[in-house]
Amino acid sequence: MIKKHSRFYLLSALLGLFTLTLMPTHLRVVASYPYIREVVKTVGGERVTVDALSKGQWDPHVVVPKPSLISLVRRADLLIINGAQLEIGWIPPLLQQANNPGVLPSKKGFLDLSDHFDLIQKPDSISRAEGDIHPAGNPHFHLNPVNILKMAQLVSNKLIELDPAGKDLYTQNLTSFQAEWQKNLDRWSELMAPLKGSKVIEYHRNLDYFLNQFGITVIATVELLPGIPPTTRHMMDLIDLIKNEQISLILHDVYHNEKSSRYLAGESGLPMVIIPHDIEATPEVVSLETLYDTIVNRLVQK
Amino acid sequence: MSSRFFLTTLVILLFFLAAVTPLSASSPFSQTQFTPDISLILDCSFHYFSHQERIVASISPFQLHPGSSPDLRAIQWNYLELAFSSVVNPYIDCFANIVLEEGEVKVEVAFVKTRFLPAGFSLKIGRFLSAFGRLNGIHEHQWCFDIAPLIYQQSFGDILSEKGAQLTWVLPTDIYLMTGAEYLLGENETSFNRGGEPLGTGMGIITGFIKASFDFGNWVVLGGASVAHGSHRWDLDYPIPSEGDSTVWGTDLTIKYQIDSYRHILLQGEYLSRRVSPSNIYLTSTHQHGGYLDLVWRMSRRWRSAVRVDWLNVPDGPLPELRHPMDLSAMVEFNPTEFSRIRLFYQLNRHLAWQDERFTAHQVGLSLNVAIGAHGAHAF
Repeated sequence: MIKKHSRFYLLSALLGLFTLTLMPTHLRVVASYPYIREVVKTVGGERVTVDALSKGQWDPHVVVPKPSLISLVRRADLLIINGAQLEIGWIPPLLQQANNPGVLPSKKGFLDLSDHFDLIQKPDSISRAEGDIHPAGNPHFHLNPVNILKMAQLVSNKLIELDPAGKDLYTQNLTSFQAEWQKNLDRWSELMAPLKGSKVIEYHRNLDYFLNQFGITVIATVELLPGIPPTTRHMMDLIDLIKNEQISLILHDVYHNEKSSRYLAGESGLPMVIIPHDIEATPEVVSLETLYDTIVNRLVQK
Repeated sequence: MSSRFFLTTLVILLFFLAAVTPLSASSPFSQTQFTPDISLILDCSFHYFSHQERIVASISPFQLHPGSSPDLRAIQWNYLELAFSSVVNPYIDCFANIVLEEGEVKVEVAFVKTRFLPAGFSLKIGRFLSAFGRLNGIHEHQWCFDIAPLIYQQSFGDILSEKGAQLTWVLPTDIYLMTGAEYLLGENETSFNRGGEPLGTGMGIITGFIKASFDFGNWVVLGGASVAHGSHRWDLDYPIPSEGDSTVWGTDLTIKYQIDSYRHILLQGEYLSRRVSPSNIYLTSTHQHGGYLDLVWRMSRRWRSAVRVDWLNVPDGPLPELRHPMDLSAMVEFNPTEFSRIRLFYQLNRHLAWQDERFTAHQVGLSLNVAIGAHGAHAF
């Protein structure tokens, strides 16, 4: 009997210990991508701890739902995703295994940023014959730097909802960030102005929101269809297209194989530019500001 | 084709039709927007087996029925599978996989899982893949090789999938730690077999497992230990049935190196040990152990290859030549998109005997697997 009791106490002590570790000292936020992590850091300051589930140098569509990510989601008070099905291939299994009801979709601890933006390029027909399409539209809306302002607002609203005691700090951080960001936006607009009206080819439709913002048109993609690499025929068509249209650049991302874009650049004589899509995608991108600085610099310098 | 099969197919087709009927303003009580995620997975293959004409003896010391080599030199429809998943209400989710084989309908999994329990707990009830081991919990169409390793065949026939209840707990730790236990009915004929006969009064199966994982740069390490314990009852065509206990232990280790978004190298191994305490003197082997080691190389987004070494030890097996069989397998596959796969595989088969002598057989296969509809993403 005594042995049984001591076991019971041991068990209670262990459970108590784990309950203690459950008590949040900070609001624990988990973001699907590094750019969201930076927005949360900016607004949340010292009141929150935030981790990103993926790396900026890798394909945002293809993230391995490894177990360490389950433990991050398990302990999160808030999960913020990009949405528009960009995470459809990897967040659902994490949520299923994390046993954390607080961050399930529709719960208070879940924020889908795409719900608050108008998406472009909604496909007319929803069929996988069109490749890996996103039925809701192009999900890479964060690459328009103007959208970062609204994202910071959304994150601030959510943090205040979950942690009302931090309202003053979050509001203060948001206000100063917005003022500073507006200066950046003005600077980037000025730098991008000469490129207005130009035409480009992209490997994958990553940068369209950015290009739309600054009046640049995407004429074609190097990939045949979303997620489907180009065929020889498609490459020939692109070379013809470049001859007929006044195209100035070929844009490529950091994760797709460069071979096709490089070949196209060689054949057409157009410069190929590698464009970072997230924090840490290229070495100089260490913050939100340097992300757009780098994109602008790389476009302007070519 | 049985009428049951036909009927089920019909019901499922009607369900599909209901699902695609558009929401109309004139049907104010329409529920079509609540349609669960439905997907259909088709797997078919062409096989060549080098010793088609031989009626081979099985490796299992318990299932001494002569076994038969299936008709392997033909296009085979391996399975057609319907997968359903949806949130039920704020408290539970529901998942079901229905496998349609020619002339047969099987419920592979059908369970509910809680979505409200606090503190990292979750309860699963229904028929599900046991969390025992590593390969067991992974759905078969995600496997690198279509055939279960020898030690899995030896321990569970194929895999441990049963009706029961499962409680899991994900610990609130920095590294991934998950532990849990299951109570299963014990219908698995290979190691347990409670069902069927009136004598089957066993206690079912209790399983326990713990899994841990951490990252080291681009390396992922995942390890686990599992146990399944229960009573067995086998008739075995002998006058007296055997009744006793069966225990299977397992340890597993997976090491993955992610080269970039698409490429990785993965090493996955498991070791299982199975002991039975039979009451029947006719049972010659009471302990078997073995494992497998997979080396997987994802060369690009579309191409993947793998090799497997697969071994079994039956120290007191009835056929001396089959006490330490070892198979070798290799495969290469092309995935045009994540929804289809073409795989070429080869197996050097060393676990079969003919007229009491072991022989080496070769198996070559080409398989096609496609998934349509709302197909859920795969776990690690």
